[in-house]
Amino acid sequence: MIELEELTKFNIKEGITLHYLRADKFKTNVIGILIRNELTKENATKNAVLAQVLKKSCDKYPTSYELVRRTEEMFGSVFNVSVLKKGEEQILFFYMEVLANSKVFEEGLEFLREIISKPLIKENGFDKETVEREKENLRQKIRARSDDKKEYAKLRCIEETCSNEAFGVYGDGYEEDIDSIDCNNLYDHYIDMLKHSPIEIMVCGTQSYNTENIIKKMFIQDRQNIINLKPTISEKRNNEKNEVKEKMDILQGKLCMSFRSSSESKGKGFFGMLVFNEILGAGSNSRLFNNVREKESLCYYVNSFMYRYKMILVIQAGIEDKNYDKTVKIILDEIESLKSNLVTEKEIENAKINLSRYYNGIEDYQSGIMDFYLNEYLIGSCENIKSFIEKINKVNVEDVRKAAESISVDTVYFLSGK
Amino acid sequence: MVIKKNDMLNEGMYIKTLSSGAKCYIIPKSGYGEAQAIAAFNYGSNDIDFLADGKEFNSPDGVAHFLEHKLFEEEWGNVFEEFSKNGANANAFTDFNKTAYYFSCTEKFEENFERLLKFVQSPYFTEESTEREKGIIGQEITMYDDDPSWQVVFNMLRGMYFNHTVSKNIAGSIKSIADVDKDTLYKCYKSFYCPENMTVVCVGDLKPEKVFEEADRIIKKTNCKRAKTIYENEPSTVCKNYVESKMEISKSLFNLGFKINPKDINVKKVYGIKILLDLVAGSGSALYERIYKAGLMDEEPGLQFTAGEGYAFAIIAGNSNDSKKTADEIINEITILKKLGFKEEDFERIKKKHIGRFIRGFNSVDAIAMSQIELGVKGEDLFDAFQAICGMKKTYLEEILRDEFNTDSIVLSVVKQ
Repeated sequence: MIELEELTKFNIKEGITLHYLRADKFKTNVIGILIRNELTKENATKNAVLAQVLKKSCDKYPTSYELVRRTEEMFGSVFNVSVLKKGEEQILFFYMEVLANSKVFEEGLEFLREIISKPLIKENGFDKETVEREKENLRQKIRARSDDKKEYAKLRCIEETCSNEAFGVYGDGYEEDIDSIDCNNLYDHYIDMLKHSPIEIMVCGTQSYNTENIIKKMFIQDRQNIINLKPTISEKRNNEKNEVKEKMDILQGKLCMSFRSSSESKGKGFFGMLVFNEILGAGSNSRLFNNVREKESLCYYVNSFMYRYKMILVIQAGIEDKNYDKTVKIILDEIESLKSNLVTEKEIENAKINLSRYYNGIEDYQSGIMDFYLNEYLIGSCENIKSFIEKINKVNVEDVRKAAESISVDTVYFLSGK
Repeated sequence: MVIKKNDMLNEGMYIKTLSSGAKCYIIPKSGYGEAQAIAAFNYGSNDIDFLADGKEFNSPDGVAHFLEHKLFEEEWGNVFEEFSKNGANANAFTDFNKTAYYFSCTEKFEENFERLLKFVQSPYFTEESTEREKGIIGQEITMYDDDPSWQVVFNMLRGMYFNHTVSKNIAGSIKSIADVDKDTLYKCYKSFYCPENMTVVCVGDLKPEKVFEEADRIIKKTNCKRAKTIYENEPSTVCKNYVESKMEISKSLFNLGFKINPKDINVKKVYGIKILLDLVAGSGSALYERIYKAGLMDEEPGLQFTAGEGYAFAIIAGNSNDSKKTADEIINEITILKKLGFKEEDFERIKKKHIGRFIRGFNSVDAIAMSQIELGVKGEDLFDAFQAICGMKKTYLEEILRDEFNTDSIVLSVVKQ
């Protein structure tokens, strides 16, 4: 069990913190380097292209082929660069997983140092061919967004819900912003980030005595005027529900509804919401599953989940177009009912069992552990997995009712057939 | 009981053949919150025609999978719910040569383990529930029919095999499952769900003696003897070298299949072929670099090797705008490598990669359990596999490439718009 005492933090440089999560049971060490940026429409696409460019090559391994071979040589190490959306931050995320053997781990850290501090540069910019190819790859990826209809409906729902907020910005950018990116302005943007963005480094596994030293060498820029990122806040709007309908060549309609909560993203209110969400729509014994699917046969899938950073609850369902009004009404009625009536002891017990199993299971995966601690850190909550589960188990039926009371519908998005 | 240890992996394994004849593997993982148990029977979609009680029986395609669905139903209700109420996540799958039932949980392992072992020994089939299941399985079959990644494989298998049942859809067809009735289910259950045909794998923070004791107590000895599956003769040649199918798909999908001699395929050969495929067409191979630069593929190919009784095939798969040209490049590369052999540095590097990835697999309770059940039904274990990888020789792989990868026994299956 990972206890809070096992999590230690070191200050590497101005605005760069190393979080060490000691875990001796794994065969590998995982290192995550997170360069944190504000999520803005202006920079979202640039950051997405940047991640792709940095993943393909560096000065020491100038072709993708050489880079892959180097990771194979390091006993099949896993390496990736991507962008993460955490609330209203867009994070440039470097991931490396290496055998826990100290020698190989240090080789892995050195590899990351090459990637981060010595990218492939030509005349004060990134390699033009790489940038152009990755711009094109991103364009294809963005166009393919609408291939997964269920996912697309969810993205559109959030875009509509948060049209005036940073959270509504797409985590991997916009096609219309691709052309203005070039190898020079992208490089300048990266250097800027290395100088001013807050950086978190997370290591999960067994420590090597040289870890700190190698990490210090990854960041050679002078660090000053570190950007102060504002924490993501949730806000409840007391507006009329916003209805958005779109059409596509599909057979099954995709419904996506968003609800704002006035509960905080940590503390008692949050845990109440977590259990409420579980009862409402997280499993095959949930209210939504039983009432919308089993009783009414309205859908093949229906579920709910939360965006914790914004405390937005989302309900998704795949339904026939003709059942739109009926389904929306049943869902809203269900929530109304949960505002005034208490859930049963059996329901709350089952929800707690499911949540406990899920959170207990996280400790068996380094990426799960890292993500858990990252969320706690960014949100400013201080739980470890044990105390998190304890707080879940303290939630009572009145807390669940209060959670239901805290939410109000924001946007109803429906993607239907032509 | 056999206790095996591997120092390089820093892991231990406990193996015991129980009094009922079932074989049990336990891999303790100290400090892990989740535990997983799998009970598998050496009975899969291939076992269609068999000899039981001296008589030949021809079952409809897809029975093993059908049986897997129905076994969860008991007279008193559905076993899934019982697992769920007791904090466990249960599931099952059927493949060519086995049916596996499993659960994972973070508490109440003994209770759930008992539940698992009991329900697979309690068949309960009725006319009504069998009929009802046909609709559900029918939908599942349709879902696979709609899936290009399933179609491309089975089209390849149908092009590869004249007679062997491996080319049949695992779930059968709507037509074949229409012929399933409760008597068929009971007949197949009695013929194959015998303790001697059962392998159990448990992984997690467990006490082996306790788990063995529980398994020995709950798995009852029976008079059942596993039926003998009957296979028709299968030549080493393929029916067709090229198969094409049209579906709603943005980028063409291909499977380049190699028909391999199914005799004497032990754990060393299985892992040898996996390493060989990576050497030929993996993400760090010269072939892939050429294919990528030529714009034929933009993602590394999928590599797979599958073998069982009477069948063995390797697949190099991917998306390409010109599958025929990509296939030609791959076949040319194989022809050249057969003559020149592999470079020493490439072999050493890929061997290291596979050693590292194998060790990494031991991070995950699920990965360990699933890999061990795959080997366990053939009486092999993960430590045998690891030893085979560590002892792999370049000359052995070159020998396999020369002898087994015959350019006449190749099927290119393509699914395109």
